[in-house]
Amino acid sequence: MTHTAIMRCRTLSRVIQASRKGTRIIVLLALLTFFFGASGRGASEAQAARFGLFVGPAGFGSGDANPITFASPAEYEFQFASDGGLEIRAALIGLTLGYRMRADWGGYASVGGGVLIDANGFGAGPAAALGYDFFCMVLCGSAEYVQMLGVGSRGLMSPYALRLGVSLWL
Amino acid sequence: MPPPLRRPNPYATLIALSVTASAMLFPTSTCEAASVFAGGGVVSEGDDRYKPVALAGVTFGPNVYATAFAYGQRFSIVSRRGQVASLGKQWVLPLPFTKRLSLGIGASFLHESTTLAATSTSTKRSEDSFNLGAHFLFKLRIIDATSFFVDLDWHAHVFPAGFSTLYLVTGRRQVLSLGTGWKWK
Repeated sequence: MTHTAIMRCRTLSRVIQASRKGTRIIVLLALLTFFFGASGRGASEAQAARFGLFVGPAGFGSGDANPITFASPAEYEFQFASDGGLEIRAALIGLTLGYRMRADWGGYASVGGGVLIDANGFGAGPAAALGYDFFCMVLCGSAEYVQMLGVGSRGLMSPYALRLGVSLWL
Repeated sequence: MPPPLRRPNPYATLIALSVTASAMLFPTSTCEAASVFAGGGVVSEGDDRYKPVALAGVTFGPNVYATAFAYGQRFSIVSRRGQVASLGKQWVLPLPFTKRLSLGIGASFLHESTTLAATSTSTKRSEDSFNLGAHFLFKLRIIDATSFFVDLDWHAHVFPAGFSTLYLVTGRRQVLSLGTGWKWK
């Protein structure tokens, strides 16, 4: 085999390993959400706040989102959302503050703004997200799309991400 | 002979239909009964380079919207054209400080073509691609007169790029646009 072929095989092997590891993480998150969620408090009870960890590939100005590796810090996001509507998102691609609205059937949307990091630099501007909560009890599974728009020194930037996650109600 | 058309990804179809069905569950808002609008803006395709785009659309029924976008570029003998059509439902966000911001969720259909013009040594060649995905819209109504309006829109057309690898791999056509239109109560 040529050196190029060997390098390709190694790269492919790493991707497959990352995919297997990622699949295990997703299954674990789903099981945690299902079992702990089902045995916890009712979702209709008043909740004070929730903390969430989300994972999913992000597109940040250097082409669209790549397959998830679970190794890139850009794939993760931490969230805080209060019953009053306050929402804080912290990810490598941006730190935003927003107002979250929830629908009875599990959907939610938020609008806000903050600072962002893109392949083309730093910026600041509005942010928006749409999501859906499922298996919501103590733990809550979520799927969401989040996007930001920032004006920076190199022009307009617009990172985005499609993520799955688990939130803990407190 | 033109290349065979690729069928939309079945998983993408399922997702798009689910998103549209979910959108229909939202309560209706107090928007106009019907409207037509047109405008222009910029589109980005995954990078931060923006290209001009034209759009036109209608709203009808219980806040259902249909929007069409067209954009293109030409590099010497290579020209690219894209069209996106979106159908979904929108409603006014219950924000405490403004009622001018709306959110829309729907499905998008994408057609893009790349054409290589004929030269002295080669014939004209063209390649088409299709995809089906989700459409997310944030709309800020800047001017809301009795019969006309001006909107600042933030469209995100999110298409599944592949399901052979792990989940959530997407491609996006983001449109930032300014449009104006006529409405009927």
